[in-house]
Amino acid sequence: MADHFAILGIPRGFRLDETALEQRYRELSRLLHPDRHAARSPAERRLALEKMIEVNDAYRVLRDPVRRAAYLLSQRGWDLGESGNASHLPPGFLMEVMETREAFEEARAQKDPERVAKLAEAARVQREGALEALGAAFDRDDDREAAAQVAIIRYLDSFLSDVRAWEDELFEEEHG
Amino acid sequence: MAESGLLQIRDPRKPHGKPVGIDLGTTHSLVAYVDREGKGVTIPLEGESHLMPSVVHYLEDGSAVVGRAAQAKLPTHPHTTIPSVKRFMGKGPNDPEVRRLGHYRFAPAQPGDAVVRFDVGGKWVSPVEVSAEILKWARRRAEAFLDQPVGAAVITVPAYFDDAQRQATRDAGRLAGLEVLRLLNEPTAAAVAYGLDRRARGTFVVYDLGGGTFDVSILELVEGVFEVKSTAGDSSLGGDDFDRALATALLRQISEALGRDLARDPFAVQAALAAARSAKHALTDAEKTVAAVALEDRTVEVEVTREQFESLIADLVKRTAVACRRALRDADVDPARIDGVVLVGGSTRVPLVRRFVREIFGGKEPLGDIDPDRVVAIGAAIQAENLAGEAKDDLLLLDVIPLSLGVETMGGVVEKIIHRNSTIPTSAAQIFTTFADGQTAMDIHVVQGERELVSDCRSLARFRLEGIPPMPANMGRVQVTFSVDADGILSVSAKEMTTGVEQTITVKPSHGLTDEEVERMLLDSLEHAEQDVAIRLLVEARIEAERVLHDLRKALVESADLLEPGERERIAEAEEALRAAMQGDDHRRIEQAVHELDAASADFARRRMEKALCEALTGRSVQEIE
Repeated sequence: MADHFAILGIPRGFRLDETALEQRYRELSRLLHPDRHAARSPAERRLALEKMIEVNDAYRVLRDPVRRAAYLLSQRGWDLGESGNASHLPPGFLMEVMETREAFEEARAQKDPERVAKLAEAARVQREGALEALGAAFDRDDDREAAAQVAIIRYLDSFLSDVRAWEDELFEEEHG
Repeated sequence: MAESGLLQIRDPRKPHGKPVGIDLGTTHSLVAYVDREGKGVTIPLEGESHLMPSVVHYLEDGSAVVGRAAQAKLPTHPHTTIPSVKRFMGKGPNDPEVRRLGHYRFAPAQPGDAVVRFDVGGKWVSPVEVSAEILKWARRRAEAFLDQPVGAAVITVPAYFDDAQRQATRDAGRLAGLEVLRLLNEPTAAAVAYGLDRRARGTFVVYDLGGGTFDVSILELVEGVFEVKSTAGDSSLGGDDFDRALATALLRQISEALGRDLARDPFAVQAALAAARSAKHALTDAEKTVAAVALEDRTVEVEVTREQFESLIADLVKRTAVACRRALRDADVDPARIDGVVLVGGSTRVPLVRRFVREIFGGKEPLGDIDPDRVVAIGAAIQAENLAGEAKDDLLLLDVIPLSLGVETMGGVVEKIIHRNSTIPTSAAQIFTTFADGQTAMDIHVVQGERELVSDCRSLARFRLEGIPPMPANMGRVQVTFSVDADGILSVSAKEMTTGVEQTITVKPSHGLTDEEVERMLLDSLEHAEQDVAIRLLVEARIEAERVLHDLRKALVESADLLEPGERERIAEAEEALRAAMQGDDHRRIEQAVHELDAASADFARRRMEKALCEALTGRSVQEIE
């Protein structure tokens, strides 16, 4: 599998020019999308399709800072897995997560959406901080710290996604 | 007979006359094309009217009548007349849809048959066949209007249609003798019609409430690229449900007054639905109206106010908010940042729906100045022109898959392989390991949906991988690749990791027709079937061969510098063989020769593609392969 940065032709690194990335994605799509090759020979159609799939995959990874970070780290031998790797977490963080989870369970049992919203807001603020720390870690080539921040963000995302699932349930109950 | 146009001499670049867009709707269908000024316009299909009712009536001899004439048969022939067939596309005999208020008569479920069928008086027809009749009639009327053959079409589908519903639609197109250029999502088609018209730029929401389906899509428009960020919906919610809600209330009221239960009488149900539909239309402008239910022995009139109607449909309209909320969140867009909301589908004329849309999207006044009934067909026509290589606009649509694809794992849990709202085409590979010693086969169950348990998702297909060499448990490994094409349809290939043996599996949905069934129906539907089919295959093979030769000539002139020593000779040899095959009348020989030429020029084609990519990446002007 070719390298995502090479596929999109942008410099490797955590910091990237998002506008340039989007621009490049659109250019490549114009060149490769099956709609552009509807009237071509089977060989060209097949080739373009393969490349378009690679481009879509690369873009999906690189446009999202957390996926991008995980990709860079995995290329340097860090095993992060899709759901996060607890061994990279700073001491104390898991304890914190467990406390937040317990508070969420309580609030959920009491059907207290306001308290849940507060917990979610706190998690979002913490995520913002972790994202900044992630960039800073890449800037000073501190892979260990970057891996830790990716793991933190993934834990927070998993919590936030559970909160959203619950909020959706409530919303769907209200909206039949 | 429409196929008689097959032997005309045609430009190989447009083998099928005028490309058209077809909106195959739940209640109405429309056909549009791009006129000489480059504008998308719909075609009158029913006298003056551009909307052809999507109703099929079967006569005693088994032949079909479509459109207004079929609709007229509904009151007297409720069993042999099928409206709203779209609701049944890709559905099984036990689907909840089959049990809703309606006047259909279903064929008894056959063991092993996964498709719902209507009993239309001694004949059983599947939703694919009924839809094919609608497409055939639409095509015939478009041909009469345009005075030229119509063969290639973009057919629109609700964005929220799953794989089985998409396959069923594509099968219906094939059965109607159409070359389906693309299945296009309805909200995306509408965005194309609006976006191109206004040269718009920014983030747009398309709220599409049709007769039987609801979709909401969020798109970003930049320089002619329409990138769908997310889509969500409900493939069984629409204006039909408004009719049904009002009809149920009318029937209850009339049953009470008359002292007999009318809900089981298909004639009364049909009459109530018709009265409800008229009342709904009247209440768009009027505050109150009279619903006249024409029973067999008398007509009962019931006054309905807009307020009453709105209270009956309020829960249905509210249900659309769930999908809107999800689409906004998946796109990661704040409602305040939306540049415009486009209304599509006849049901968006209902005042309550308009108020509701304004409310969820931050008070923005929705756009509805292109006729919401026609906008989808117009967008589809523009895309058809684009795919046929004739468009002047530099248009590109990047769409997404609406529902996640996954496989069943231990304990009936779904493991997601491709997530919803991934841009298509896309593919993902997954490695499966044997769990028993000497295991030589593996069963794979593909599902579609967002829920965690297999039983809560839609079963798409089951297939068996065979030929794994016997090995200790956990040693046998098979890599399965799931690919979703630009129509949103899945295909699967598998590779055994130790031997490298590869196989491609055609995944046919559990609730679909098999390829053989479609072939047989296609043959049955043609007069002098075998001869015609043979001629058609030969003509198509020759056209394809002409096109390949034409493209190759051009490529060889443009990129002569990319040829390696001896390559030109190898290609020329295959070219000669193809020309020889084209003199004969064996379509298989021509196809084989095309295939061989394709193989001989594959490396050359790869070098050309890589050069074009390289130029794009190094930022030089994108020199397209022309």
